[in-house]
Amino acid sequence: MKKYIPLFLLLASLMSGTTYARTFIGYGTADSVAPKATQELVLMGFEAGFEKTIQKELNDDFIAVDFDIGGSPLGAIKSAERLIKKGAQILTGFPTSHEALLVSKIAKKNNIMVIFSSAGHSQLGKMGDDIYSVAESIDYAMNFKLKFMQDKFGKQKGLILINPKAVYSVSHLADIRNLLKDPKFSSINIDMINLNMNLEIPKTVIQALKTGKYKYLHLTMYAEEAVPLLRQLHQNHIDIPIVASTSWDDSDIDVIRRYLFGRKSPTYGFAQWNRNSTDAKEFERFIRKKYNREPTGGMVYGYDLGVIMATTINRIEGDMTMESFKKAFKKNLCFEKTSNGTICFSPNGGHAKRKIYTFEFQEKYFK
Amino acid sequence: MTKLDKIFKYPILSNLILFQILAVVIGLGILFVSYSLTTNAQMDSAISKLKENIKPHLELKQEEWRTWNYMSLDDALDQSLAKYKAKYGLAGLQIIPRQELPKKLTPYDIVIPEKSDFMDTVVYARLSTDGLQGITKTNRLILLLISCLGLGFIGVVFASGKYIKNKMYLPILKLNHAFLKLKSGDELEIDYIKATGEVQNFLKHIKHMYHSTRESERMAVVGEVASQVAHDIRSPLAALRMSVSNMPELSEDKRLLVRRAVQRIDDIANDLGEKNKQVQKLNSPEKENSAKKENRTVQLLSSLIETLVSEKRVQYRLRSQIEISVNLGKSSYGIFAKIQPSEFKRILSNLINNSVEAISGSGSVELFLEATDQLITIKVKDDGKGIAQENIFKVTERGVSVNKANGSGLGLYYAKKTINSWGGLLKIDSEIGKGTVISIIMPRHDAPEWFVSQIQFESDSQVIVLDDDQSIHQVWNNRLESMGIGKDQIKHFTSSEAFTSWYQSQNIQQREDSTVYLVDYELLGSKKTGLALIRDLHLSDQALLVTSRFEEEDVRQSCLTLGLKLLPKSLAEFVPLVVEKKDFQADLILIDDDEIVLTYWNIEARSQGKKIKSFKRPKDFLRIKHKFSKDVPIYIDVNLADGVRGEDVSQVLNESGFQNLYLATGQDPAEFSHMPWLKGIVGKDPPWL
Repeated sequence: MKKYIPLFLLLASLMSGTTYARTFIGYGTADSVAPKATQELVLMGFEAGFEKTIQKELNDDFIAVDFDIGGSPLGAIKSAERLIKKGAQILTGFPTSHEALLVSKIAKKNNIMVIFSSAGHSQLGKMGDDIYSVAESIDYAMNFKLKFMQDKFGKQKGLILINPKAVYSVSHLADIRNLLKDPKFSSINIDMINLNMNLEIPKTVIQALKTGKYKYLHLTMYAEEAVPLLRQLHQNHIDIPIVASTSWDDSDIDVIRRYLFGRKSPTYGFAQWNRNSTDAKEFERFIRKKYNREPTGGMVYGYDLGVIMATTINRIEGDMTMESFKKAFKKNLCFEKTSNGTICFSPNGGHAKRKIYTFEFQEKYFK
Repeated sequence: MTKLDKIFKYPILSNLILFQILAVVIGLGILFVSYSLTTNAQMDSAISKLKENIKPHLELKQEEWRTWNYMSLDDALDQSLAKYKAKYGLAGLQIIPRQELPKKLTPYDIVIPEKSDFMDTVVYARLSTDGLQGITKTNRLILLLISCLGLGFIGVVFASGKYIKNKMYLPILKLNHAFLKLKSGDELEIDYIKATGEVQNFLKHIKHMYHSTRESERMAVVGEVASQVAHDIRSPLAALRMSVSNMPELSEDKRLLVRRAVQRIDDIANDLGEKNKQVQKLNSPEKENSAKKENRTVQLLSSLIETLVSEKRVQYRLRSQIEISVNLGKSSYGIFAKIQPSEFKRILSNLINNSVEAISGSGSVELFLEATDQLITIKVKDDGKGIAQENIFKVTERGVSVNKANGSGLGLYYAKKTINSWGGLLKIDSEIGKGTVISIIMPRHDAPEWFVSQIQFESDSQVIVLDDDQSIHQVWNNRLESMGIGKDQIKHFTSSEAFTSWYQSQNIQQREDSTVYLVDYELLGSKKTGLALIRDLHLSDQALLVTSRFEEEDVRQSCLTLGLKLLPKSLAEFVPLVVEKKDFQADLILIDDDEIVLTYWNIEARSQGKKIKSFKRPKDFLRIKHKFSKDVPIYIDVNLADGVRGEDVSQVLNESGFQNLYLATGQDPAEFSHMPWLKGIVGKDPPWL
């Protein structure tokens, strides 16, 4: 956390024009679901997007960052509370659905606008017009993935594994149930099974996988949560096609590389940016230039959030208040120059309408 | 009267009911408290243990659950909660707003308190009784057991109450009513009272005691009459017996007839006397007890034997062909033995019974009493069928009965055992067809101090007979005359008043001479008894109490206190009479209580041709001192009987005019140097040695 303080000082020094005497934007995050390293990638993306877009001078209190560590399930709330106490009128960050669901309640209670970086939980779309997420909703992503699986595997029997202790994964379950009711997915033959209490694939399921009952596997959890499952599959010599969740490239690919490398069956992933587009190339270029490293899916969300937040601030005329921020945000719900090109929001709040893209793990990366 | 009034009228009944109620209340209270303590402790312990096991798991997950709840992800939360419910056997597991918590929590409830100030929810779990089923089942069993015990306890309390009421209270209540009726003059009627066990025995004892008391009262009256009749008959009977023996004009067969009639009357008198004694024993618990634990005492055998023979004659009066007699004569006089009198009579009675049963048809059973200085022999002789020689030694064995159809075989066994324990032996001599003689041989005991072994008279002694019974006067007349004492020397009085009047008319000299007083104890029509008269007139040295009441302890004790001798009236015919000729010439007079010293001096005197008069008691000499010369030398022992000092006696004699006074003692003469009337202090040897 402390290492970002010089960054904000730098940002402040670059900003000019209106001077803000107190914290206005609170960027919060907690490590209860996604590890700190992954959270930092998002923050790095945010910094890059904000830096690239901002035109006004800000002082060092303008954006406060609060990182709750210790793994508390309520870490996001604690972080949000601290930011509000500091005077934050706009909350942002809180990348995971778990954090977003918690913070959205605090925000509503305090009439504070929130723009989450990458939370996809479908319920966020029902929280009102002050709650936004730069990420696509899970039901949207799931719809996309089901279509992919239908196209890819036809009527072959597949298996979806759910982590019952992860909000993000559990959210898939509800959305899949709803989507499978749609006749367009009637040909999909798929079972949904929870991991056991130890968050492992149940032994009976392992047996079923060994016998070839299932022809492909969809893992609904984050990459970090999928690691033990991939290890379990590897140890049991189970090598069938895997369809990953949309979040696997949010973190460094190194987390799961060793279990994906050497597999004979394909591993499919989903990314938030089209690497062939101009905007995506600009994003990648800026990241490589700024951080001298390869971008990740998490950085994509952070970058896009930084672009959107900075664009909104640029739109503000006069004093910067929560009202003027909301007005500037809702004046034009579409934002250009994101990694995904132009991203639009609904006036009723909720997730951004953005495209997702299918990739396959090849040569150590999703391509 | 209401039932309640009845209860309060009888405090034992009301207390019994109260105790029952208290017992039930206390008993149930104890059972209830025991149950509560036991079950509560068990439940508390089990619940606490269960909670301790479950709570850490719940605390570990509580924040996650509350977080999910906060996120309104109820589906996922329900699954998680359901798994925990299943895993830990919880009846309920909820995330609820704090204000929805029940106001009163039960021991089964577990509440994980809120740890953040922005979430108003708590984890509220309830323990499933499944985990406590074992305990609950045990508690139910305990409750059932305690309930059964409680019911049993109440049942026992009421049953015991009813039992006490029926078996004890009601019989006692009815007995009480019976006593109330008795008090109002009715007979004691308790046969209708139903009772068992100890109470039944108690009622039997009451009934027995009541009838015994009634019988005793009746017997006391009978006994009193019998005693009086026996007393009144005895003296004329003695006179009649004496008269018959001195009536040569009567033919032999008439004399026999009269003698038998006299004997029969004598038996009846003895029987009446014995019955009176039995009644007195029955009416005296102290005497009855003493009879049961009877110790050996010195007894006059002739009296016991005569009484017993009288009883046996009455017992066998229907077998008139059998004559039961006792041969008591002068040789039987004054024979004493240390025995248990009841046991002695029982043994002798058994022996007589055996003899009677051994006689078929007519025959005789004779008893003899003889004695030497050391041994007594009592013989029971019959002319029955006899005992075979081979059986003679067997008949004294336990359980052996010979010639008796229903004999227990214990009579002779116990007789021998008892006599042996007295230091005696039982001897059997028998010949088939001739009869049996059973001899009891026992050590003779010295006559007790109260008993008169002989009556000593001087040839000129005056004899005073004081008896309310005229017939005894005749007995004494006959006996004294036969001893050479003339009628003019005998004076007869029948009342104490006449005697007292006469006595007071005598001068001192006359009173102190050798007069002998034969005084009856009981003097009808007189205010004083003969004993009181002797005491008041200080006649114990010269008098003799002649009475049928010699066996009474208080009479004996009074005689002993006065130093007075007793003569059983029935022995008046047999008591040896000794008449000494008048002789007051002596060379020397010795007063010493030591029999050996007296004998020694007498022997030495005879060998030296000296005439010596010796006295054991100073008063015997003092009574006749005036008949001796004042010059006669008198030797007096210093330490005399009854604590009398010889020097004091010498002083009295000196004052009476006796001049030659010596003390015969081994003490230092210097001790008596201040007594000038003493002529000398000599040793224990006669002075002529």
